[in-house]
Order: sequence, then structure tokens, then C-alpha cells
Amino acid sequence: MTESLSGARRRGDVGYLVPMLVLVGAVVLVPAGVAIFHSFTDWRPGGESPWVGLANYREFLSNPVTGEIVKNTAVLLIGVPLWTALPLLLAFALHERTRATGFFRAVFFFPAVLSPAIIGIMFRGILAPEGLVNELLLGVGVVGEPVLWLDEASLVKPTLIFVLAWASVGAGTILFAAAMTSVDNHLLEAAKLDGANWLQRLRYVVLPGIASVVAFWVVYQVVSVFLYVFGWIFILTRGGPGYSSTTLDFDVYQNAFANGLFGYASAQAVCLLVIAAIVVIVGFPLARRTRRA
Amino acid sequence: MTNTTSQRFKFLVLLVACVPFIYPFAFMFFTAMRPSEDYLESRLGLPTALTLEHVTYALDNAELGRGILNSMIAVGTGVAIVVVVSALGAYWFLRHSGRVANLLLGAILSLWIVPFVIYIIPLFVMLSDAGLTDNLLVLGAVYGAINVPFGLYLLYAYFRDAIPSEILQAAEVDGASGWQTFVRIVLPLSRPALATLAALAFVWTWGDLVISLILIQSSERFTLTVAASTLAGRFDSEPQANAAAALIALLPILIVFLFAQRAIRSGLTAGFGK
Repeated sequence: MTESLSGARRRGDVGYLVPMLVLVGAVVLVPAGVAIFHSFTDWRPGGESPWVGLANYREFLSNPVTGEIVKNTAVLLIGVPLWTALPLLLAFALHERTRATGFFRAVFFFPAVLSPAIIGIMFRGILAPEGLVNELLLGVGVVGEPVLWLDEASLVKPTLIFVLAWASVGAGTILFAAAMTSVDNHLLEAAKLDGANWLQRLRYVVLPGIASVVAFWVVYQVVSVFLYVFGWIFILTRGGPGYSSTTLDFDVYQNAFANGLFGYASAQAVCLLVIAAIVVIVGFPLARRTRRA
Repeated sequence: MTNTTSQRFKFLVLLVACVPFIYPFAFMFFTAMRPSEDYLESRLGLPTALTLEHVTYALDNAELGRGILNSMIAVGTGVAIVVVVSALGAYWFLRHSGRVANLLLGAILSLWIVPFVIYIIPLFVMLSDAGLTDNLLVLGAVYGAINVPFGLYLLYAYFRDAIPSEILQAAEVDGASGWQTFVRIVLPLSRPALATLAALAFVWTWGDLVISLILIQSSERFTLTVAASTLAGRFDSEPQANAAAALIALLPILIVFLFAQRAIRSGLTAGFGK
């Protein structure tokens, strides 16, 4: 009786779902479908868009810029251990009771709510030839003349790795700190009594307890290199100098909005989607299965 | 206690670790607020005096005041849309749990991995054809849509775990309609989650640059970050104006952060789930 009653009632429910489907369909799904279709055409918005089959994809594979992009992405991925270790150390330092935890948490966390657009403007000033970093280094005498952090091909990617570490450490710290509350404090106390030092307690007591959260974070960081570096590149380097900091998403943007190569950019974007999907589909189940570090 | 020295040492290390996180903000603040003569003398230390000169200059030259207003319209629209749409959708998924519903839920949630560069190109073309670019409300709707997968995730998990199903059943037995249950029971009980979603959607979209750069053309509709950053190039030779622009762009987020830090934190950790 109740069942059929709710059944009848719930039939009219679809109104709750429609706004979401319309919004997501109009903004994300339909446009993404159009992009996938046009990745097989020489897309000229407003004009003829002849079918070119796989030509855009073949062009992507043979374009010399693609090699640069692969190299840049690989170098940025070297940052993942740093982006994981830093928040782990901070979270554990905050986990074992200390003074002013709230203050430290707020300080480390604040950059995580700022966007690349905002921190980027700030970092342009900090990394400029006459900016904070150079002034400090010149003052101490470590360097003789200002370092061009963002304008030298050999320095731009390491600089980005450090900026990203600065920006992401807060989110990781908050996440790991939350995970650590599930670690049995008696185990930590026992380890301490047995003479385990701070790093040993982190390595052998805490890390095994939160291994799957750490694994998730690692996968998320890898995905981020493909999905979320755009804002930083856009504000700080514009992909340069040359192509030395161009990532796939930035090249898509350049090709579509600066070079007018809409079909080619769409093919690149489809490849980006496939890569992100593979990382997530392979990575998250692996992370879920991680038990011990 | 034997570990007081190590406690003190750790506290000291944490204090030192704070420096790279506080000093850049202090540097930016002082660069924006110190008199020009002061800046030429020394850039690193405390200023000898404070002035609003550069802030006023940035506000006037980059039209940041209008930018703040435009950002509020677009971001406000986006926050309202994502909260309403996600709450309605999450309520539907709370009431429907068949195989189709689960598939649909998974499909919408997995949209977060769709890179924005794939849909922004056709979206721009379609909106231009429809004459809908250069419109802050449309920009707001796009902001809302982008945050829907997260909003659905957060609210669905909250509805499912924090609202006892007995309450929902009791309401149904008492003859409350689905809409009455939603408005009088589900929404009031979910206020913390709704606040978290609103705060996160605010800070995420307030900082957007590229989407508004693509969808807005006329300078009188520029959002704050666009206004601040397109002029950041021009300000590169005027570091103090640049710092002032960054300071103005950052202030609203700092305010939201100070008031909603706990909510934002809980939202981020929930976002990682298990």
C-alpha cells in the first residue's frame, strides 16, 4: 500500500531532476559532444566544416609541439612526490598535539582557496626580476644578478613545481589531517614509548593507517597536472619561454582562440579527456586497493 | 614530561614553515600600501608609512570597482544556481535508487574529469550564435553548471547520511507532499552542507579568469579577476599598482575564508570521500 502510494507520488518527481539535466547538458554535455564531432572536421565556426577523418589526430601525433608538451608534462609530474610529502609532514606535525593548531591550519590552508588567477598576479610580483625572491637572494648574496624564474627555459618548470607546491599544500594538509584522526592514538603512544622518533612514527604508524587516502591524493595530483595547471600557465608563463611550459590544455586554448585551429584544438581536447579518464579509471581503483604503504 | 623540548622544537619548526605562507601576503600588502619613496628605498621590510594611493590608482585605472560589482553579479548567480540545482537534483537521487538512477548519478558525478577546454570552445561558438555572450547572468549559469558535479556529490552524500530516513517516512505517512518534505525538512536539516557548497562555489568561481575572459567581451562587464589581470600586464612596470590590484582581488576571498573556514574545510575533505 505504502509502496504503491510512494510510487505514484514519485512519478511526478522528475521536475527535481530536470534543471540539473538541462544545465549540465547545455553547458557541458552538448558542447563536449560537438567538440568530439568536430575533432574529425576542419572546423570553421560559421562556415563550411569539411570532414577530415583522423587528420587532426594524425597532425597531433606528428606535430613537434606535442613532443614538447609530453616533456613538460613529464617534468611537472616529478612534482607529485613533493606535493605529497610536504602536506604529509605538515599534517603530522599538526596531528600530535601542539599549540595554536587553528592558526597554523588557517595559514597553510588559505592559499588553497585562492585561484591561480589571484595568486598568479601576486607571484608575478614575487618572481619578477625586482621581486621578493630576487631581492632576498641578492641581499644574502646567493646570486649576483636577478634570476629570471619565469623567462628562462631551464628554470620555468621547476619554478612552476614550487608555486604549485605552495598553492596545494593546504588542501593536502587538511585532507591528511582529517584522515589521521582515524589513526589509533594508543599505537602512536606505544611507538613513542618504544623509542620511535617522529619520522619513524609517521612512516610506520601513521602512513600505513592512511595509505589509501595518500594514494587518492597522488592520483588526484596526477590528474591535476592534466586538468588544473591551465590557470597557472595562463597567468604566469603563457606557455613560454618558447614552448618550454606549454601544457596540453594551454595548447588547446591557444590553438582555438589565438590560432583559429578549432578542429585541431578539439582533437587535442578529446585526447586530454581520454588521458584524464584513463588516469582516473586506472588510478582510483588502485588507490582504493592500497592498504599498506 | 620528557617531550617538552621536542614539543617546543616542533612548534618552532611549524612557525618557520609559516614564513613562506605569510611573508608573500605581507610583502604584497606592504608593496601595495607603502609610499613610493619608501618602495624605492627598501622593498622587504616594514613600511615607514601606509598610503591608499596605489589602491586608489588601481581602482581608478583598472576599473576594479566595477569589476567587483560584475563579479558579484556573475558569482552570485552561479552560487545561487549551483545550490538550488544541486539540492533539487540530490533530492531526486535521494528518492530514486534504481539501476537507472545509479547510472545517472555516476554519469553526472564523473563529469568533473571533463576538461573545460573541451566544452568551452563549442560553448563559446553556440552562445555567440545565440547572442548570449557578453552576459554576466549567462556567465553565472556556466559557473553554476561547472560546480554541479561537486554540488550533487556533496549534497547527495549529506542528504543520505545526515537525514534519518525515518523522518522522511514519517513525513510521507503524515501526507506531506514531496515538495513539502523537501522545503520543510530536507533543506532546513541540510543548512551546514548548503553553506559549505555556497562558500566553496564562491571562492572557486570568484577566482575564475579564463571562462569570463572567453565569454565576456566588453570592458564594462569585465569581472574583477579579468580587470585586475589584463591590467597586470600594463602594471608590470608599476609593481605597486600590481600589488594593489592583487590585494583588491584577494580581499573578498579572505573575508569569506575567515567566516567560513570550517565549512570550506569540511567540504574539501568530503570531496575526497573514501
